[in-house]
Amino acid sequence: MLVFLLIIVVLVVAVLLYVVATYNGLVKLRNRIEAAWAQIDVQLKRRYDLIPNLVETVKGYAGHERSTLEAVINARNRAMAAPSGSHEQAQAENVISGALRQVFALSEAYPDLKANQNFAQLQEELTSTEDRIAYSRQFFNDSVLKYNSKIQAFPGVILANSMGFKPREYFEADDESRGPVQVKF
Amino acid sequence: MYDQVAQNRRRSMLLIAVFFVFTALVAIAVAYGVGLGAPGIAIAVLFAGGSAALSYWKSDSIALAVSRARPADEREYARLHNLVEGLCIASGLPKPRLYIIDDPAPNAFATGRNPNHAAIAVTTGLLDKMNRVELEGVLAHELSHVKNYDILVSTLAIVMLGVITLLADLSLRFHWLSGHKRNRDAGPGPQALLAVVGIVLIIVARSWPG
Repeated sequence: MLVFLLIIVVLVVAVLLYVVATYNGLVKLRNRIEAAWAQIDVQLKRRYDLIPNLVETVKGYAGHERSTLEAVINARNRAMAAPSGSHEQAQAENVISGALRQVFALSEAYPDLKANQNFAQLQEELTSTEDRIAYSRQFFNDSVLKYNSKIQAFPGVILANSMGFKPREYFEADDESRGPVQVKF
Repeated sequence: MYDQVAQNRRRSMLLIAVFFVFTALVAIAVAYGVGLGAPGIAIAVLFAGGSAALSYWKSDSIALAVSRARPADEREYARLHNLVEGLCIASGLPKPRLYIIDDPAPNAFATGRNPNHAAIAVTTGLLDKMNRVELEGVLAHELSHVKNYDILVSTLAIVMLGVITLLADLSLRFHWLSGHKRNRDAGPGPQALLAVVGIVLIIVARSWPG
């Protein structure tokens, strides 16, 4: 009888420990998704901050390339005005990426601009920010994948449902950003 | 993949434990052979513990100092810092410390004991020869060593090798020094033991996977 009781107690404790560990694990994964999302915003913000500097620098050397520079500024303003995480924002961000490439392509036509230290520095910063935007989106999707797999697979699915953990959506690229990038001169 | 990481960490801990026992035994043998007795054994155990602790906490500084690495300036090496930051965002790792080695040969290595205490060193030759994308590939490779805890094993191996070589050298020297005057009064016991220990240590030192 005592042995039987002991087994029950051990089982109950084991199940409790499992529930606590699963819950904590899921909370950790969910927080990681939040942090990953915030990281994307941080990088987008960094890009908004760098663009005016770039435009100012390029103006000094290629001021009459107004349409190229205005395209960047307009795309930036539209992206900043759009609500965070919305479809419009994603679209405007893609326009920024394309417009920035045009600005960098300008340096091929203006050797003085290309030789400018400030320009080179801004180009490095903006290129790496662009990389980071892509990387932080990738990390966000990795985190969502891990979280979704955990709450949808057995036995986690039993607990996750009753504890109110909902699957999250992936960050997906638009159709237009999947296509090859076109650079026009 | 995460199971492998956990396994790597367990094995590294085992390696340190085995290293401690091994060093302690060898140091005791050396102390006994030199004729220090009980205080010698205490010194030997302290030495073993000290070198095991040293190899866990300080092996990265030793590896960096040996290769004459200097910290990479964030302005001067902006590209290096930017690339590593980007890769860290992608992999969810904390940013490791970055070092530069003045060497025209392109090379890079990662060291440290865990992702929170990791460092990556690259040579100036690597920075000169590689374009942005190539450099990113190399850095991603080094970061994967950080993430998989390969860095702990390889830096431990370097320090342990150093300790073992030191002991082997010591025991051979003592054997040679004490050999002449001991021949008359004492038997061949301690000296023969020392000779065997010395030879074994040299073999281990030579075949250790560095």
